[in-house]
Amino acid sequence: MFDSQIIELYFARDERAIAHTDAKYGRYCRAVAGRILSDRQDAEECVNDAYVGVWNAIPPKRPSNFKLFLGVITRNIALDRLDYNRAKRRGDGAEAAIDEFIACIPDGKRPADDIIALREVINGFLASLDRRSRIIFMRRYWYMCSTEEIAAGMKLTEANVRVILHRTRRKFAARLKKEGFMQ
Amino acid sequence: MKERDYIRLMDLADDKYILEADPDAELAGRIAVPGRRTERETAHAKKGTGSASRRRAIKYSAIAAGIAVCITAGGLGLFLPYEDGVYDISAYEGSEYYALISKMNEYVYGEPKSTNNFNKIMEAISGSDKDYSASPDFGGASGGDAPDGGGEESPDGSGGSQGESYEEVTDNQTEGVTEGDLIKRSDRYIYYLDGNELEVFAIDGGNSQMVGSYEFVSMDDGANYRNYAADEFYLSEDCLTVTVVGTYYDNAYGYFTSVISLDVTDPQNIEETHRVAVSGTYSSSRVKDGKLLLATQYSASFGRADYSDPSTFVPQQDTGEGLEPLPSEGVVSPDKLTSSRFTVVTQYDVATLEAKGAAAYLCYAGDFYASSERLYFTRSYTEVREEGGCYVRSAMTEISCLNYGGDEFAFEGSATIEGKVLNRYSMDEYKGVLRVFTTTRRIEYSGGAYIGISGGEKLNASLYCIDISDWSVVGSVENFAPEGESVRSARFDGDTAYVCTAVEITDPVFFFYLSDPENITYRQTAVISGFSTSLIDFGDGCAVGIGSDGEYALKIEAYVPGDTGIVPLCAYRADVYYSSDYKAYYIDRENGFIGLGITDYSYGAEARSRYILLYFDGESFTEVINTPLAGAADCKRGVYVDGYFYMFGSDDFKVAKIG
Repeated sequence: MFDSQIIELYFARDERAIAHTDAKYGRYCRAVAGRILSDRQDAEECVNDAYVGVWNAIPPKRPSNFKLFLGVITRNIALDRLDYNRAKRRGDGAEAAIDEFIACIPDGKRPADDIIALREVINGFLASLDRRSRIIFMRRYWYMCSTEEIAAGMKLTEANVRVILHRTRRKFAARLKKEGFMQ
Repeated sequence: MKERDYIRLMDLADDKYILEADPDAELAGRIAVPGRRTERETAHAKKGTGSASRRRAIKYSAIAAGIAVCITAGGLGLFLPYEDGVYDISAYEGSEYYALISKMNEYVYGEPKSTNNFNKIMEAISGSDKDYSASPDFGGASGGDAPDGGGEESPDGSGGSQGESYEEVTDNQTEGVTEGDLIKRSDRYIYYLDGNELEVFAIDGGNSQMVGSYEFVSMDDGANYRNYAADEFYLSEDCLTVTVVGTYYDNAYGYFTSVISLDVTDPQNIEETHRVAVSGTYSSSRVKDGKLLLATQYSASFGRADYSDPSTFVPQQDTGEGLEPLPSEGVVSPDKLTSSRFTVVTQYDVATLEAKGAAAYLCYAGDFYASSERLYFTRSYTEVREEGGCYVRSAMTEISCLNYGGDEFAFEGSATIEGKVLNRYSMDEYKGVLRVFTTTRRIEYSGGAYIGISGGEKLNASLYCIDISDWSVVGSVENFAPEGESVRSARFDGDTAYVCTAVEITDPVFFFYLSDPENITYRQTAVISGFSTSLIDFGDGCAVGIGSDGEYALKIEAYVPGDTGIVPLCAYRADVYYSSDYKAYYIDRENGFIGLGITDYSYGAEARSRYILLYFDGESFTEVINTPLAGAADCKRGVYVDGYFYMFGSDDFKVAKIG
């Protein structure tokens, strides 16, 4: 079923919208949540919560890219759940990814609530990267893939991926420092 | 900025970078990922066996074979007829739910609308597959217009703890029917639900402070009660009990709504006394004459139902003795199902939470309109009929009535009208007549069915008056708005009604005279900027609309009926964001106050979340308060008591002395 047809089912408040969403993107959502959360049951619950979130969001929203819309909602719910869980235990690759990312971004002199400027900086930085580095960086910090997964998908060695990530983080930190988001 | 916020920063990445890096897209071969050659690629390059021409021949043959396979597969995919695979349910004829099972079976496995994929695509292109079965946005807590005479003062009830008396804060739609809210009060305390915490504040002017609280904790025990969220609450007339409704997730059975009673005799020692639960997420509730009416929405998975086990497809209720499916005689459903979602309505004694009745409406909207004795539920669907040589697809609404005035629920009749109902404020029962504003939606096809489209979809607004003694339509005004407009807000006041229609931004307000349903007249404004998402009756025929216009995000405007039409009297405008949830507004007709939470981006981050209080003297609006107050606009509340205005937000509380 086309995404546009699924979205129309949401607008029609037809319960089959969720069934079709699960059939088409269930595996994708579980993969997104599963990379962030080590517990399969938590991941499954996050996906269920994401479906509720989508049901409540459409209408009035009409996403231009339904898969991306789903992925964002699932990711945010999974990150919320990870925040809740990480006080109790250490996780696996997802938590390591978050810690690495945070290490790049300590408190800056400019309030980070200036989201518009920050968005421009972030996307400007991503645009400046070569395609390979950018894909690796996004898979690590948006999709929360492990270095092993990234290496397998990119046909690289794991060591190579780690080096690329390290260099990219350093460039990112330098850009943020230059733009005043870091001291 | 918290560490967690930085994690969210990656959400600021443009969609194109997120999509570019999608691991699934790469696996599907849609992204050529730059990287090293694989071993296979390297070996292949080294191979180089056979002549170049033989390799080209093999390549071209493979391409041709692939094209042939694609054409064959495409043809099969488009023209292979659908199967009609209705499941044999004869084994369940003895079940009390057999009638429901039959409908479910047809819904899940029945004859598809189209005969094959090609027909389905053609129908989608022509728009003939348009289905208006969308439930209306019938959310009791969001959007909608002013009620008909709400905001009543409490009766002189027996005092609560140490002589407390109840004072109504919520602007209820129907007089005598109390609605849940995030704020309630007695003459001594104000109760506010801040997320999952009930807070109790002593009313003491500038010295007011919180004197007690009770937190609802999600019991994450791995089995039940995950992610509990308190939604609304009630304060009993004797001010001794708070009744809270909230939603939680059960691992085994999905979402439930719980009703929890708290003894608030001593605000410093609040204790839970009773608890019950019913399937589904919380939708709406009312309290009248000691009864709590609760509506939830339960989504059944018909496709995975076990017909031998009703708990897999029927809503359940836990009254303290375990979960039990609702009895079949309490389930109302159309002949042909359009969804698998139930609106479950249950009745409890407010004092004891003893269950007094239950019903479930399948394929109906989540909220209901409550008159003093009846509940009205709506179900939207699409009707196809022939009119004057054309085929017409039209949105229709069936309104079903449940009488709750007696000891038990009693099903009364139903009526079907054209159009979709916006929300509960578009309905009103008065002197035995149910008045309903709808937005009509039609597509007309010239020639045969689904062939050609005449002018596309047509929108308009209509009013219907239904005699509830025999459920006949005794009066109507159809398509009274300019073509293309839909109902945005409505407010009934006895024999009159205001309704606002709009397409985008500039549109009229109508004033209806309803004393004689068979002879309805109306007036309208000229085209005015903006539209109202809520209309409030402010007495003497004056209505106040809260909405927006093309230039400002918030416009609060007063209207009065003039000699020839509806006249805008005065307006307050601000370039701020506001909540369209009617319950988020503080309406005080006696003192002329209108309060609401806003977000003003002209301020810095720490101060942009705010609360404003306006004073309306019948001629103009004056801003009395404009102060920072943390929290989402939907959740902020305010109340005026004896010269002070009390404001409540997320971990935030302010008191302002008024004039």
